[in-house]
Amino acid sequence: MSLSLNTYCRIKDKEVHINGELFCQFMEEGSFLRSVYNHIGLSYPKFFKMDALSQLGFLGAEMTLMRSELETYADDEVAVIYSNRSSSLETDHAYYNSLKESGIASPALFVYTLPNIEVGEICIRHKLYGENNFLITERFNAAQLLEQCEALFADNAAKAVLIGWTEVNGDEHDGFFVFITNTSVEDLTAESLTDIYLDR
Amino acid sequence: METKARTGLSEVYVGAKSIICPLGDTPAKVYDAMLRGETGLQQLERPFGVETTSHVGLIPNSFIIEERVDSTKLENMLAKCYEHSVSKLQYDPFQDEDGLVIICTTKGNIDKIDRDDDPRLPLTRLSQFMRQSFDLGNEPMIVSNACISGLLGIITAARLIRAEKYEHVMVLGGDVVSEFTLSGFAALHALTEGVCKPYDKNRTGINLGEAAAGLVLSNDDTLFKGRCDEYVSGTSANDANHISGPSRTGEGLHRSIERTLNPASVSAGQIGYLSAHGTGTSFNDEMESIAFERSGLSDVPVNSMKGYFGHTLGAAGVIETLLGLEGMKRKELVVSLGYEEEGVSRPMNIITRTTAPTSDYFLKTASGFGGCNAAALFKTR
Repeated sequence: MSLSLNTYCRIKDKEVHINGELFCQFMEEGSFLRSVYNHIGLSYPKFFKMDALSQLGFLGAEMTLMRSELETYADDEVAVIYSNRSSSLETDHAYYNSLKESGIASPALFVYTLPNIEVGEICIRHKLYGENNFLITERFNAAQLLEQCEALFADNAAKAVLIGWTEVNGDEHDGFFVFITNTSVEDLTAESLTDIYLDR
Repeated sequence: METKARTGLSEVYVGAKSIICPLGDTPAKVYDAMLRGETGLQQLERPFGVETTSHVGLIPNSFIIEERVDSTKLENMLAKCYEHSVSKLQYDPFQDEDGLVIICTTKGNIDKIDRDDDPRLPLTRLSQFMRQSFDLGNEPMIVSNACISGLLGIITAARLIRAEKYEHVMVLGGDVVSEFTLSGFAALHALTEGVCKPYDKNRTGINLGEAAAGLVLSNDDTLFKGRCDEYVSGTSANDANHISGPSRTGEGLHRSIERTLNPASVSAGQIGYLSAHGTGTSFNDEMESIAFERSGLSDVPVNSMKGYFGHTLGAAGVIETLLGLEGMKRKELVVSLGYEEEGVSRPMNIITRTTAPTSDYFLKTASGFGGCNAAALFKTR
């Protein structure tokens, strides 16, 4: 199973697959995202300030965009449209619990209580001035994301879109990232995207 | 047809306004109160247990009469707006496949976070609630993109209609004030004492307000019982600069304005009214003044509505767009409440007495955390 014209990255069950091939796996408890960060040889200190949701979305973007000829696009031609089920709920609880336990609200945690912060982190890292959106769906919704891509392309608002699904539940990470261009989109169907997502 | 011939953009109409905010529960009532210079912000002793002197904009319980079983304040607000908006249409098109509801919110039912595992906390609950309550033909889309959520929902709706994915889209924006948001903004030192003063020399921060609002966008102007206006174009752009502070150069906002006006072949000088974000924080308002100057908008009559009902977060883009359209219709633009003395580095034509728009074009902008910005252009008919 492959999406021949699109770069894609799947992060699930402590494994990273890029374009359908196993890229890396780390089975130790608790340090998966940091291990991936080290594995790709990144030096980006801001990574360690991010919450797990942003780290997951950031790493997915990193591994997908570095294989997507990003440099061939103007800085406002690439949109980032991410989605998930739980918004920033895990960090919401962390923020609220720390407020209740210490009586002091943490500004550093509060900033990450919006899901689109991870999109902001990606735009900063890759200097992307294009369109953004963050959609909340019950499960990975390929049809909705493809619809968004088609609507952006039809409106000449983007030439490519990085779509993402990022769900974090404690030590479990579920990420899926696809770089979709205005020419490759025709070959994609919601079914083919969903099949690849469900394959891992 | 004039718009189509000029710009090549197919028509999208916007109307069927609904609103619930601290100042009232119909667009006319709210706008009348704004014209009288009233504010819905009030002082409370330790609001939601948070140590702040910042006033808050709360919705009176009397505005939300029909309680549905197990439903939250926000859900009742959204349901009421849905009903109000649909009552202004010839029929309810959202029970069919070609109709879509978009819900714009930053935090949904976050006021329920103090209960362990309340099933109403995930944002997906809003989608389920609306679909079940109104037998909707499609699962509602949820946009959660910080403080541009509402305006981004409107832009997304228009794009989906132009791409022929749907014929009619209702955009609902809603957020409530809670201990969660109030304590967070207090921790960021972003709350003003008393009431906010957007663009004023002595501004010190924001007020939080709660609201829900609805608008319907459609490719068919006969859907609306009463008047409707035209959506022309809109875009979003990221600053690529900082996750919680606006760009010093207004880069993303400037770009989103340029990318909104250019495809419509409308110049900055043709804009008759600008409804800005104007939160009342030092950095946001200064950033906007820079972006507006770079975009050639310094002479356009501009206001911020935050002094009337506070920053309503995910609802802001919807509520401020529909009240802006109300002002365009009446040809009476409200004063930028709280503004007294020039307090940004670039010139702005801030509205200090009720004034008429200088043309039929209305531009709405918004900016938010995550470095996001959005702009949308409308034309009154």
